[in-house]
Amino acid sequence: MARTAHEAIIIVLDVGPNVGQLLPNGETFLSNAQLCATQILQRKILAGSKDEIGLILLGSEQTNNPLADGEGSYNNIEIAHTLQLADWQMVKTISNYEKCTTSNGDWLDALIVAADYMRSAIEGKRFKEKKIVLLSNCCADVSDDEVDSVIQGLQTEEIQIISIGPQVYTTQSQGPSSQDNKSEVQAEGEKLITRIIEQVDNSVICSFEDAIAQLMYFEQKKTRPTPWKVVMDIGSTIRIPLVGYKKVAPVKPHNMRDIITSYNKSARESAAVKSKQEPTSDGISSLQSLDISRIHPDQIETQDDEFMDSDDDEVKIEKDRIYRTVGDDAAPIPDADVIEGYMFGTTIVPVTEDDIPGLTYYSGEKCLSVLGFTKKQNVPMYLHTGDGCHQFFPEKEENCIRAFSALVQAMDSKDMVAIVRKVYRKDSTPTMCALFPMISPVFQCFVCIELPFSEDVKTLLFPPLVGEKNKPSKEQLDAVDNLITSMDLMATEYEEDAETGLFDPHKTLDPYEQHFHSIIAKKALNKDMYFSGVEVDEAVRLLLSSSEEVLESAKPCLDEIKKLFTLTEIVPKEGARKAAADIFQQNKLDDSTPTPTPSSLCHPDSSNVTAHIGTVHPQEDFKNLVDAGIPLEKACDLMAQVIRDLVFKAFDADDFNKPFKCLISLRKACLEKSPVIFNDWISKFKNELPPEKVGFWELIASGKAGLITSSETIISNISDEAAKQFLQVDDVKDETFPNQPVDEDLDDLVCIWDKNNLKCM
Amino acid sequence: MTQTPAPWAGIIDDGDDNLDTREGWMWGGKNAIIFLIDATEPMFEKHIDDSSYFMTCIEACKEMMLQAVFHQDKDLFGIVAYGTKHVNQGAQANHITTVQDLSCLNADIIKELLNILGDVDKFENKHGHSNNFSLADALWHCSSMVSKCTTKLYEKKIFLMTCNDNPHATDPKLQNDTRMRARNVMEMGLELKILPFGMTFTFDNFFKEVYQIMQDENDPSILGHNFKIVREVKDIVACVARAPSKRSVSRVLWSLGNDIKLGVAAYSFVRSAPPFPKKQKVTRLNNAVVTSQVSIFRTDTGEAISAAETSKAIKVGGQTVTFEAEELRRVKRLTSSGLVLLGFKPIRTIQLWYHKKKPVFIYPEERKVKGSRTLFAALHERCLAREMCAICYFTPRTSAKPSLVALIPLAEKLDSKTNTQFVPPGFILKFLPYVDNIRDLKEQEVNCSRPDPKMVSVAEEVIDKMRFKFSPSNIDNPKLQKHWSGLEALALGYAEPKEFVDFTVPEYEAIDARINDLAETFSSMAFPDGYNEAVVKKAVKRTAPAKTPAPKKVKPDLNNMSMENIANQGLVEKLTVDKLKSYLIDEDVKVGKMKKAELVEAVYHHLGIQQP
Repeated sequence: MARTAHEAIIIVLDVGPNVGQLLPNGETFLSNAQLCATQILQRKILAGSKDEIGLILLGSEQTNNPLADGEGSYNNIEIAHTLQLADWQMVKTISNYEKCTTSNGDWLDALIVAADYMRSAIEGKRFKEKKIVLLSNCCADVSDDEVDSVIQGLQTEEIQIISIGPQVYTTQSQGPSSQDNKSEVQAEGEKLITRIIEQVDNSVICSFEDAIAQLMYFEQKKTRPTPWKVVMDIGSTIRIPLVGYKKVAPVKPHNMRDIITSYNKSARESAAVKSKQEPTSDGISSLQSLDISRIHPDQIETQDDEFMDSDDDEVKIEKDRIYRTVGDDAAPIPDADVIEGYMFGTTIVPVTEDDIPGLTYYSGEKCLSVLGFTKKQNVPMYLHTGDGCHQFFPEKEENCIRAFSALVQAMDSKDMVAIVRKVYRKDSTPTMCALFPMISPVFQCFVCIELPFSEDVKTLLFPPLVGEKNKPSKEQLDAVDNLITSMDLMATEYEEDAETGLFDPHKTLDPYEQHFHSIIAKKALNKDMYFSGVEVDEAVRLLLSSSEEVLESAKPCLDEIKKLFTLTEIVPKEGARKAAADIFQQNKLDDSTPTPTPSSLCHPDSSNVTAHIGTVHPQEDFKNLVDAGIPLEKACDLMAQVIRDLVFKAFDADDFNKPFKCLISLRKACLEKSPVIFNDWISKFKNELPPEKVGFWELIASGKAGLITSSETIISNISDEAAKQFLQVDDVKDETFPNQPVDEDLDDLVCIWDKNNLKCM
Repeated sequence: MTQTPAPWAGIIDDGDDNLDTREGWMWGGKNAIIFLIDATEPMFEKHIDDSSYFMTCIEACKEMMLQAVFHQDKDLFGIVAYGTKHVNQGAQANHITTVQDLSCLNADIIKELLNILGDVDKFENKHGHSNNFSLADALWHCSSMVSKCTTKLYEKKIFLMTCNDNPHATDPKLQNDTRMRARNVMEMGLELKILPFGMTFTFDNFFKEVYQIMQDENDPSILGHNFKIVREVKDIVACVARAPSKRSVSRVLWSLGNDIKLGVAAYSFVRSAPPFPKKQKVTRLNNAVVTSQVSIFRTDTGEAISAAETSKAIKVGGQTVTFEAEELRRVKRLTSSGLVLLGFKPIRTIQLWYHKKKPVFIYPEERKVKGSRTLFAALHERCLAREMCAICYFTPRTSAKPSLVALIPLAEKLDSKTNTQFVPPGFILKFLPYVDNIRDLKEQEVNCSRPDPKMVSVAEEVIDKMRFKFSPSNIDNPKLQKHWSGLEALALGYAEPKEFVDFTVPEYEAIDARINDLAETFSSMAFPDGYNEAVVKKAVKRTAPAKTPAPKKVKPDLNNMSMENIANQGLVEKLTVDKLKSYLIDEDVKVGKMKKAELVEAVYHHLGIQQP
């Protein structure tokens, strides 16, 4: 069944002269059609769809189809992409047609080519549905004598036609169509396509507006429900075989892997740096850089060859974990000599392989065992835990169904839930769950929700909300009442939403997933795009706000509330907490732009192209430059830039070693020749360093690699005392600095990092 | 710092303009607990069960320490005995013995207590008794232990355990000294609690005055609160138990629109992870601590690279899209932190199964926006009365995803017997699924709408016989219990780990005894031919629709094809991992710990053939 769930789709895109006409919305038919086709493809690609798609261009300068006889029939019809899984190349092919061609093609011919090609291409494969998406205004002159046989053919092949774009009016409103600037040919063509749509089963015709509204958002990858079969037991006698499925589950994390940042991306970097500077006075350059990120796609698009070869210069990387003892005689320890230990207070208790069974709970066979039944109110919503929930159905066998239906009915009518011990597979962690009976007109099931253990429950005690000082007045309560009424999400005009209201989970898309997909799509089409955080799709923004009607009707009520309630936002006191964050954040930068303004030192000199320090072998590069007689200042500039890059882009403190080594060699070079360069730079650098990179400064401090002092070289006028002072970051070691309330992390979000993020173990 | 006994200490605020926007834990340090134990003779008197008050004290200390270890609190503990025979101890006053200096817990400290418990007489002989002690000196000693401590302390508590309800009965000066010292200690920010032993212990004799003198004028509630005589270890543990921590998981602004914002804080009802002991890798040889470091290297050259040089890559539609670390961070910042009101809905539209993750509790946060409480209370009251909930987007903090949530009003509930709160007033923030999270189970659903009424009534009887009052506090996590009891045994050198009861396993015997006949009846009604798993399985298979045979495929003979041929036909995936590895190794390609997909990719890459 699953095998046949896929579709075969052939997109017929008209790029001929007729689609250049302007539509009432001021855009060309072609651009609308391109948008539709692009969205169809992108949705398929990002959903990882197994549907196969082919692309046929109508009005192409090429003729490439098996029916063309070279004598004029079926000319200018090109099978641009054979039936296959959607890929970005197709998207690119489509966007290549910025203007329409001058070659006329016959849309009916194209339909025949498409149908014929469909038949041959799907041979040996099975598809649930076969569709031809026709993106043409059907304007070109066609010979309609074949129409009947075309319809016949489509019917036998069970191919559906979806025609997007033609402005076809139903018979009663025939009038306006003749008023339009439509040529007779077009009207004729539209009549013809209408006829085809009417006669071929399951075919539709729809406007661009409708199509785009439907295609605007990305689809989620389809997941086939996986059954979990288990025999539920009540005591040792009653046994009911059930099948459980996930009903609500987190979105699967995007599977990302590490690669080496490719280094032919200077353009992207400079664009990134510039766009980060946006708030600075350099408004013009920031505008330019924005332009780069926007216009670039079209500019590169013509360089097709470069586009697809991109995978080859990607270098694979691997991770390796090395264990070391700590202290002065730190030495690497082979994996086999490392054993697990656990903290018992401050004592480390080593656990050898022999001890492990004594610490391991063996939960036995998989099970769903009922401990007892309890009133539903004993399992309140705030005790529901776990991620997502399951639904359990009986095995499809009459005895099981009989037992199950009686039990569900009995639990429902007594308002009871079952408390069960659930073991997913042999010896996996046992969980306690509640099985809630759920009876709908079409099915019965248990909703299974995980419950906490005694160790997990927290006692939350709070004073009553209303005290003597803050009792809301009658007026205030009325104002709030009006707000609730005015923002009622059930009061919708759309009948389909009447039952569930707006923001029904069944219809609400995850805005973050849409956002992420839109960026992937942009990046796939433009390899050099650097996401600077500002370009959020309009479609995504729309998802994030309530409907306009609701907002509009709430306005007067909100005004009233504003009048009746006094709310004063409290700004955190200055100097309330002196921690690393405050010390390093001297020039109050927006936290979204941790990159500081470049200092004069970090100004790559464009006049010397050959001088370059890469991040792969920076020390060698630096040495080579100095040896080659490049002025020390210039070499230092470049090196400083590399250090900054490495530090600012470091994923965590483990990565500070390399830039630290660079810093040491920079310092060494300056020590001999010009300590001022280093001292000036490091002073600036200290100020630029964002709080999360404080670890790098600690490294500098512990390595005594701060200011070059007069005791090191006579050319320096810095005293040892001053240097020592400089290294100190007052009392950075503030233990109570709230990093993140770790055990309370609400954030499940970024599983983008590969699951076995080795570092944090 | 004054200590209020109300459980919501620190949350309540009385319009104080000088509100600190920080929460206690942000600037507070660790807690220090000192047990000040009376070691005079009466404490060592053996009772019928061969135990003494002193033993109960030590037992309680041990128990509390074990709990602290279990909860991984970073608290410091100290034990001081007074009324011992020791004199001339230098700076330390006479007749006072520091059994345990204020320090973080470790296995040795607890082992020491076990030793004392194992041989109390030895302890008694070693330290002796004396009635020439001064309780004032003992208190002073405790406070100096605290002030000498270099660790930053938040809460400091002294628990005085004694069976003497009138110390220094004959010496009014010493009694006065004691009262004064108690006052001093209180002013230093220490809390003194008395745990009285013995049925005849009378507070009024002396300690009532001590409490009165320490009492805060603003807080009259302290009296009569803790005058409960302790008898058992668990009484002491209950007295010492800490107030639950009030750490919020997120504090944000809730914007209703039109620039109206109120401050709210989110608290979790349920811990995010069970308190398993922290892991620390050590060497097998001498149990030395090891750190681990991950090095990254290129697969082609083996050259080490820094993580700063890496990007994240994702393959989509045949193309690799890369993200730098900074870009990913920006992608995540779709919305800024906060709660944004979208509208209101009846609570009945929120289905039980709209459960994406554990809900949190929402309470007004005056420290963010002054006046929040009143508006919050109004919203709470009206939502509760109209059975409506607020639908919002919730971003707990910057760079978290926005979640669709329903704020469902929760009415305060008090225990009818003790009049104590067990459900706090506020909103439950329920995380709703998006359409992306909901699985379509239409094909899996089973309609069984017409149950046999006779069976239903049997089932109802079964339910009645098996009903109980569920409370999560009655069911311990067996995995956690097993782990800790095993670890405790290893750490403290027990011969056998402590036994624990696995409450997650049904008591089959008890259940069977209760529902015996009913269960038989139910089973035989459901499975007239007797229940048999094999029969059920077979029946399921039979009823499943016959699958149409898939079109036959010609299976290529991969064993006799060259790798190049296989790759050209895009069949590399069909090979086993072993085959792929051995091929690549033969071709001198580094395979390392590659997964199958990577191996397949490597083969195509090696042959320069495009992967399908």
